[in-house]
Amino acid sequence: MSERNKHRRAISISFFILCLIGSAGLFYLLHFPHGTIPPAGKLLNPFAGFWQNGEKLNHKPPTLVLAGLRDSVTVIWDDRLVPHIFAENEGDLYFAQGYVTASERLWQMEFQILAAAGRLSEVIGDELLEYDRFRRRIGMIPAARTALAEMLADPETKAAIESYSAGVNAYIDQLDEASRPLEYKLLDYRPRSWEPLGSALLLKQMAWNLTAYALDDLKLTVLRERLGQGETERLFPARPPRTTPIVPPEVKWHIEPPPIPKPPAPFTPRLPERTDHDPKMTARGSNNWVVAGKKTAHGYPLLCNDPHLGLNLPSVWFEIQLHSPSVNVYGVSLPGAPGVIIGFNDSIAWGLTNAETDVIDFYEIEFRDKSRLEYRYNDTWHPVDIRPERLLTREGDTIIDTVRWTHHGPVIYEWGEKRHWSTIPPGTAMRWTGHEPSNELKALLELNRGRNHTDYLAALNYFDCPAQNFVFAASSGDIAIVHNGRLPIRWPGQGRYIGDGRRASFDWDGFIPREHLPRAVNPDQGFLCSANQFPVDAGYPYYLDGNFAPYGRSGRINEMLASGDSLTPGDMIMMQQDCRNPLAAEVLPPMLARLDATGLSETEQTIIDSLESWKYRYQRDRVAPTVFESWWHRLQKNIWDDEFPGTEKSRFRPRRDITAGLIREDSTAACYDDKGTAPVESLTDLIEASFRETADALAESHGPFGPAWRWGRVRGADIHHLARIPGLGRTDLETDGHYDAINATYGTVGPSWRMVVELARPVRAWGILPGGQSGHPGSKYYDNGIADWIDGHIYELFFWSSPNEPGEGRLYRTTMRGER
Amino acid sequence: MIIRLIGVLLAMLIIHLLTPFWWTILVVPFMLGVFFPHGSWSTIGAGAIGAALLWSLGALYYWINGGTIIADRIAVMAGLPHPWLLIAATTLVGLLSGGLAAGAGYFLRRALIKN
Repeated sequence: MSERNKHRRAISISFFILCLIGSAGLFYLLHFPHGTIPPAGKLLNPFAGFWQNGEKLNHKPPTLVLAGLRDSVTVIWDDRLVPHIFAENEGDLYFAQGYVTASERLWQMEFQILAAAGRLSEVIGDELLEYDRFRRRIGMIPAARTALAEMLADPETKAAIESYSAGVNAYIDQLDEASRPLEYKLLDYRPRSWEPLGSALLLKQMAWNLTAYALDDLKLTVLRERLGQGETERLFPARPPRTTPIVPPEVKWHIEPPPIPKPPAPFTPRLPERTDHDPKMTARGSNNWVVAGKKTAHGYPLLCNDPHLGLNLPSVWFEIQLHSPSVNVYGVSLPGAPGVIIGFNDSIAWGLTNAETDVIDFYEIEFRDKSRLEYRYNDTWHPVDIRPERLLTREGDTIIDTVRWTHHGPVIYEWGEKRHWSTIPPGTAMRWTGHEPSNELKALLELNRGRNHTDYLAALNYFDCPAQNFVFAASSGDIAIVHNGRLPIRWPGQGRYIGDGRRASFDWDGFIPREHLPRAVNPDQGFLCSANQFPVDAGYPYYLDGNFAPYGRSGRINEMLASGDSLTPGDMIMMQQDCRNPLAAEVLPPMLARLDATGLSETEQTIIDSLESWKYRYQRDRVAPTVFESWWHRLQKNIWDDEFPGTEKSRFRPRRDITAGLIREDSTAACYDDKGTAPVESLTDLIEASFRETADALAESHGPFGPAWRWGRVRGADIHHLARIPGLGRTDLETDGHYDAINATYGTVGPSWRMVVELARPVRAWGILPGGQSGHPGSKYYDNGIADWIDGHIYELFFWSSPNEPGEGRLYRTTMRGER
Repeated sequence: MIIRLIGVLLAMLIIHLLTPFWWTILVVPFMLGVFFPHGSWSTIGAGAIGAALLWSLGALYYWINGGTIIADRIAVMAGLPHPWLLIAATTLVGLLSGGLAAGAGYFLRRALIKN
């Protein structure tokens, strides 16, 4: 070989190596995710990446052949992409529900069960281990397994849940790389096959969310140590003041409870040094109400429900109509579970708000020794049930976590462990009704086909956890409400504070019999309502504890319905938009009256003027709500922060309804004096100081007094993507609302579904989701409802009796059939 | 070069429609370089332009056909001020991948053959 050739060859090899390194580097860079950056090569590939996740997913095929169907099923997709499923039998009905729900929401369904089960580390990575470990410790998987066993033991729910799963899997089976939902591509993993356990996990997840978001046991125990029992009960009462209960006072209690044990001697547990409350846990605000025909313009009952939840995209709920020879129901379903959760059929309608009654208690556990294999109970040592939990990570690691179960329930955090939820007391076991066997799906499916009040009550017998206020109306004219669930019988005060896990006297002693639960049917007043408030008056013979809402929303609903007459669906739709805060109406006048107008600057006087003309309505374009909220918040701080020292995270302040009552009734209370200063401050001093601070702080944050102070902008509302992927949520929304108003939109919480049903023949109904039907971010149906939801518009719902019913609103028709 | 370019483009299009593998735009230009080389620049150019053209036209097609919402969202996610830049990024990935892989194939053949 000549020198020249050798030289050329050397150059070729060099270039080859350079190009190879370049190609390999590019492959490495673009083929794998890096931190939160998705694999760009896969994603940008026009033929399989994100470009494939556009609007074409909205187009529904005219025919689908799906193994597993017995007869043919027709799905009509209406103009908001709500599927109306017409099947010949229930198996096919729930199969089709599984299929169509998965076709719009698969990623959300699966992500939520991974989150519920504590398996997010498997797809996201080991940074989520602490979260996952928490889900394991609270026993989500055993709870779901127990629930699944109950569902499988009942032929009706077994068929529903298995058919639904088969439908979801039929959708998963026909997915390819290109049609995989966007989030799988962004987070770079693949859907697994769906199991019936997934539906059980979702229902348990909902149960946990609604029963555990405000755990007060530790907080109240700490306060009792500092303030004593009397002062704690005065400032943090179990029964909030001034509440109009769910069961109207006209209902008299003629129930004989079983003997209720006497309270045992008080117990002082060991307490952690730091007791943060969880600032993520914000107020919620679901409402439901029902009006009897005698108070409505058309003579038919009206039923309304706006369950408030943390809002996300894809939307929490999936609208659907399910039609078969045995059922014809419309409403919202939980993506991942068969049936309809809140809705109506041609005879009845029902709606839910959270009961708020305490069904989670903590018990201090004394272990025999460091091995923590035995715990003391009734002066003997009992073995703990050791249940290992296997956690897998995306990185390929397997972590074994050990959960110790006592007869109370699992020990969630040992002393010295980092607590993912700081409201959970260390060294205690948790008793939760969610761990006990129940079949809520049975209740829902029975409601779906219910025809009357008897069917409704029979269905509720199956619904244990989460306890809910089930409001009901029938086209026959009946209206009803039940504060329904598995509620422990308690001695007065039981479960408010951390209990002694050693003594049987602290254990629950049975549950309130169903027929003794707070309930009302066809009251003279002609309406019933719930807004998470205390359910009963003082005559009710059982002790109830919980995290009941202040009187604002329930008071307002009662006031509007009591004074209303000839009510129309339009009135109901307006009422769901109502954003008047009764607490503001109560405290602002005394605050203004105590403010000395002399010496106010011109700007301060303008601010006062805006408040004086304000009707306590939290409208997005008004500045008064911003001023009042800031002033009121500062006033509460100035009243309490010297009594309750700590940081914003660790401080426990009496609730706003307590403070409002104090201002109204006691202008010389000792708490007004700032203990840190020599002079004795009066309520007037605090009101004036708070006002000046407010004027200065708002000017500093938002510039001079003007439209920039408007409530919608300052308060803001965000609907984030479920996995908080930027660009896939809708943030900085300017909306009306406040958590003490019927329209309780606030921050990331709001009405997750608004529904108004007129029980006419045929039934008419209206509804809207803060988002849309589709879970595909590339679809216009992903968030098409948000603008209308903000503006208070609502859509009339199509409730068809056959797939061939003439009329408007049909977008696609799909005929599904089994393999021949 | 035009023939090679069209050849690479068609081969990649067919593989793309049959498989989900994005690295088709690495493999096909590499093969071109090994089995159907011409001059160095013309081979590398055919690989680079072929892949860039295919990806940019493909992205453009899906963008126009129902892809505006998804492109807007992905642009926000990626911190890009306009979804056009996603097409630019898609094109750039095609250009780099096709060019480097074609180069690697071309110079591998040059290093292996005797003359």
